[in-house]
Amino acid sequence: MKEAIVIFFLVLGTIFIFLAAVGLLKMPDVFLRMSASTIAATLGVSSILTALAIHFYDFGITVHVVGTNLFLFLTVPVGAHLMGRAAHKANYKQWENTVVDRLKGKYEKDHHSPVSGLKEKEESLNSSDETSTKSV
Amino acid sequence: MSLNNILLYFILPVLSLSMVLIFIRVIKGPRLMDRVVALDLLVIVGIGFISSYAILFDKAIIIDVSLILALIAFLSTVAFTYYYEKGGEE
Repeated sequence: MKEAIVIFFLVLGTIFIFLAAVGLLKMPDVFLRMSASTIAATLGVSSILTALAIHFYDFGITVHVVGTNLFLFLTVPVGAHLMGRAAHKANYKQWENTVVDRLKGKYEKDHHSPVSGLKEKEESLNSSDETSTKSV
Repeated sequence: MSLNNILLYFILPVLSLSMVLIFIRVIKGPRLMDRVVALDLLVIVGIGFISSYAILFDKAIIIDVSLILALIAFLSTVAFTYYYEKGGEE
């Protein structure tokens, strides 16, 4: 019975990882590739680790597995978010059927800082200073 | 079908095949961030590989490596994106 459960979780995780690899190869766009790989890989690795915990049936190993799972579930989405933001800032090509891009136009031309209006305010302040000094 | 047969004839070959597919994306990847995504996924598949080996050889001590690998994957991703946002593709 235990062996059947272990086999079930192992096969589930392996299929998820394989789907992630196929998605990474076939998706048309960096962002879609990232979504496919992150979702499937997290689920696949966590179910393989669960199979390992059931197989050994030991407290210390279960703690290890829960810690690794928690770490993966916390860090993989954060890493994907960072990579997606970097790709969007660097003007990566998007799929032609993309419906909505809410980050479009939210960054300055140099792609390093978000639009806040501070730059224009500073420029206007500087120009007004110049004009005032000129007038004086 | 025993556990060892499943591991030897299904789990490890399919994981190897997915590693090959990810490597194709690493080589093809049109720009740098595609390669970074593929390398991140490669390390995560490596964690799965190590866990399968721990079940196959009945050695529980190997799973310490998987935690370290997860840590290294996250750190390398953060470092890559940090310097990419600062410097660009050159």
